[in-house]
Amino acid sequence: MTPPAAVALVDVAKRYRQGMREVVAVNHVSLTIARGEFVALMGPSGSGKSTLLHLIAGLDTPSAGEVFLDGMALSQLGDDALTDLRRTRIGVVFQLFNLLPSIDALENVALPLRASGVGSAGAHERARRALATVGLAARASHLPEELSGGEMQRVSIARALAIDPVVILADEPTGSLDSETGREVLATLRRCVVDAGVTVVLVTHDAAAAAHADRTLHMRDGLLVDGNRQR
Amino acid sequence: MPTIAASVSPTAPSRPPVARAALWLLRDVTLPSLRRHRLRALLTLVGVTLGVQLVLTIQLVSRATFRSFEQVFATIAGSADLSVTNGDVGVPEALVEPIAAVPGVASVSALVRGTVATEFGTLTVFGVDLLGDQELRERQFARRHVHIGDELRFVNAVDSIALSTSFAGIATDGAPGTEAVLDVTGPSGPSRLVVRGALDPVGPATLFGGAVGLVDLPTAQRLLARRDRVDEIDVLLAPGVDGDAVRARLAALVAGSGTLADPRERLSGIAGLLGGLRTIFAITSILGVTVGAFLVHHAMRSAVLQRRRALAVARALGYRRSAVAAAVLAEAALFGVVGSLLGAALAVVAARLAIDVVTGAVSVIWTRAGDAAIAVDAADLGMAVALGLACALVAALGPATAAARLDVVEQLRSTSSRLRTPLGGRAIAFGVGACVVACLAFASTALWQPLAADLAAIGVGSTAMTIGYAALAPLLLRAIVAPLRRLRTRWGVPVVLAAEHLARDPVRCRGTLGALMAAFAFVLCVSAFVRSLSGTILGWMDQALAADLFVGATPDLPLPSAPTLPPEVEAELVAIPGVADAPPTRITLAELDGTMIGLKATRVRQLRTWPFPVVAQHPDYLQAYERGDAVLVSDNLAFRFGFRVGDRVALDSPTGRHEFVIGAIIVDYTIDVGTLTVETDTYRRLWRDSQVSTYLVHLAPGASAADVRARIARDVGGRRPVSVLTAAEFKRTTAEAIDAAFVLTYAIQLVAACVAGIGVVNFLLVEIVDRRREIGLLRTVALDRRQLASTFAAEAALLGLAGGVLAIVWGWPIAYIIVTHSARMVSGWRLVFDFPWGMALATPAVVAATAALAAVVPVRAATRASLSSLVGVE
Repeated sequence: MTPPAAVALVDVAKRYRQGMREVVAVNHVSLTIARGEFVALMGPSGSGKSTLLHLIAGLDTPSAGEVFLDGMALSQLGDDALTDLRRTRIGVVFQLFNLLPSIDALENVALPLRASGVGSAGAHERARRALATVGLAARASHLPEELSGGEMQRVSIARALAIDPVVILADEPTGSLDSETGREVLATLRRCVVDAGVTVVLVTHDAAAAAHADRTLHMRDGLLVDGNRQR
Repeated sequence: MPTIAASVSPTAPSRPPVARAALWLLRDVTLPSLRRHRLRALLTLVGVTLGVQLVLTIQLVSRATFRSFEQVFATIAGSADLSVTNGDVGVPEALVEPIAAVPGVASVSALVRGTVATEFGTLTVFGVDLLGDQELRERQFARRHVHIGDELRFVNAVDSIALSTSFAGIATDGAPGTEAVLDVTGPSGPSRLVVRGALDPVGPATLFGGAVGLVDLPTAQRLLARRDRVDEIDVLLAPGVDGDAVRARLAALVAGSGTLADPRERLSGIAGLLGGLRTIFAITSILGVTVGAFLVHHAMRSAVLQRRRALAVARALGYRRSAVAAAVLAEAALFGVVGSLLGAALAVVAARLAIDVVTGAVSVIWTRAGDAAIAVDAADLGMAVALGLACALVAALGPATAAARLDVVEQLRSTSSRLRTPLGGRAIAFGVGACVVACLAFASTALWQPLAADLAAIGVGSTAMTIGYAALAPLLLRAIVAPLRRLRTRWGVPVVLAAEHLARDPVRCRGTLGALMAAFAFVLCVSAFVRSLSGTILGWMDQALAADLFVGATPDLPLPSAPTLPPEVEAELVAIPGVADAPPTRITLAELDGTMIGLKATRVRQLRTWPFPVVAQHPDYLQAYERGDAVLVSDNLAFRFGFRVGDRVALDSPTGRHEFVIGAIIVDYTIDVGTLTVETDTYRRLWRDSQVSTYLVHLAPGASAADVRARIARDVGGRRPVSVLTAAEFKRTTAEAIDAAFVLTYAIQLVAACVAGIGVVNFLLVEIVDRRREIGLLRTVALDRRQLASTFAAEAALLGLAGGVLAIVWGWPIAYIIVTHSARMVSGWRLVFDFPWGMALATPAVVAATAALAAVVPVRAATRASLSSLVGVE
């Protein structure tokens, strides 16, 4: 039997009101992303790419259409089920890393595992493995403030990777990094795809970053304008 | 080609326990944040600590006061099965033998007790029949603990006294048993006693700090002016008898002379005597807790605000809403438990400091208390923790819900804005609804209902009004700051900025405003009550107690517990040149259908010269009063018992039961349990008590008060200790007694104001952390340090102003209901409402100044931070 797509969007729209004006952030987008695929989502600021990522992550709900993740229709899931889905199948990487400053790298990576009820020893073991995957095994006991920007972002990727996700959603992960560090981070994401078979959706406005992806999608004014440029 | 939807349902993700997830959040997010913001955490803890401390202090003081009465009571009569009493007026001694003769009675003991003055302080004297029935006496003053060398000589010599070893050590200069002489002054005047025995420090000898003496019954009756009377007759029933039958026979025997009751039942009467004070204490504690709850609410809301990004990350990583909410509630619970335990410790210290003042005031106004000891047990700690926990959890419910509902997407944006709660229609509707509930609850108090239901309605009304006002407070704040936003002067820039901040997100100030409102409304309520009480009583004294000089045994107020003077002083006073008249007044405690009331004796000529304000009267009531047929009933007693003019009232006395017609209902604020006034001659004849509490001296025209005062001190004071007060001094003593009774509430007001001040500091600390980037930008482009400090001070002051206005709007109706309605329900007193408008109008300014002062610490933190650290923060 053919496995379901990692991510599928069917005629998804997102509208919201800004004062008296209605803004269409995502305008009836349909899209399928296969398992193990590295997809870059490009577009200018305000084109709707981050909104699309939030819709895929279940952090936001579409005004119309349906989002499927690992074959599950997100509209059918309640808030707790969506939360559980994020905890077990979706890894999220943010532009600003969003590591908790008060706990070390290992604990940051273990955070979603703990939310899953994984015991302390098990969570630490998996977190160590994830840190090793991103090349930061030696920095496990360091606080975020003791890490460089690239290291912080790689800890953030390790955190996403630790849960063995179906998909990693990365929102401008290199936006706060210099180009060399950015390249290292993108290489790490690439390794996740190649070595772990994880699907990666990368939101970026940087063409160089998008070049690391298998496929690049372009968005403008909420519309998907070019959905098939293969690397 | 992959399919879109799964052909089979995917495995349901595992569901981790909420509690465990919450604990991880507590460990990884909450505790590090608390460590980083230690001052704010400390202030929150102090808020909870003070709130719990307030309640527990009041509880401990109230209980210790009551137990001090209980201790006196239980030590003396607690071992008896039944006792016959009649307030302080006593019962006839002649009843002792008939009672002893009733079949089923095993033992009877008559007891007299009172106080005498000595040069070593007040001594409580117990008089028992040392040669009489021993069984019951043995339980009160066990023979093995009473050391009398020659018992027959002790009894035969009418000047013998046995002193407690501790008092004897002081009075006999450390040489007890040497027949030392002890000069005392009691109600019958000065006497010289000889110490012929000692009491071990057990039982009654431990009461009143050990200042206790034991004399034979006739000696006590002579010393304490109890001719043919005793204060109580204690009865021990024989084992195995039909208690009800014996009790019925005894009740028939003592009918008209006193009340027969189980001593333990009388404790409820004592509780009733202190009912008014306990009600005030209860209201005070509720207000104290309210202030603390607002502080916790604000602290938790601030915590959520500060940690919103961390919480959003947790939500994005898979922590459920319930886990996030539980983490916030767990933090509140932590504050609640730790604050409660600290509050309990502080309460013990505060209660120990306050107890002497409170029992002192109670002893002056009602009846003499014993040694009050503050004791804390596990139940108290449990109550403190439960209260702190419940208060913290209820206060944190809103913030916990807000945390669970955080907009994750918004909070994770790199340009995330401050967390703002819109002042929506639902919040306004909720506030208005709560105010409507409050009005309905207050209106229901106009219906006749039991006191408990009435107090419950006031409690519901106050709570609903507090919640309603707190919900609407942001609207008021926005209205207050609106005109300031249009200021265009250079000096007004900080004010404009402060007004802008407050107007932009007034909802975040709700907790702080609530704390300020509750604290200062509480101050206004207590002030209004004390002012109304004091004003009413002092105003009444001008009308009813008018005399030029007041002569008593001590400067104490003429209340039941005060020492008395003998009747012959009247003739001595009248003989002094310049004295036109010196009518005596007597106030003591009696029992009316088992309820303690004040019994007063006043000469009819005093009433003719200075009539009491009358509420209702029979046309010929003074003639009937003079004949001894009619009595005057105070308005509050009439209210409590439902008496009307013309009703008949029966009173027990040492000469039997006597029935009187109620000739008039008068305004009388002598004592809150109410008074019944009889003509002096009638009182002396029927109650066999000719002692006098105060002589009201009226001067002849042209006489000098100073000269007469000096003559009284010389002529009357030469024979016995007397105190002569002018009318002004007498009123001042009254005002001081009222103040003393409320001293604890004054301390509580101060604590409440401190808690509100902590709320302001806490608010500004959070604001500064939350607006670091904004502060940095302001510093970079426009403001110097002084202007920045002014901005925060102005913000604090504007908050204080709004809190002060709310305090007036909240305080006035509550104070009105407490003064005009609750006081009437509790004591029957009709108080003239006197709201402290001067203080109320000054309140917003004072609160604003206090708030600005409280802002000093956070403002210093804001102005000292380096610019790079402010603008560079993310």
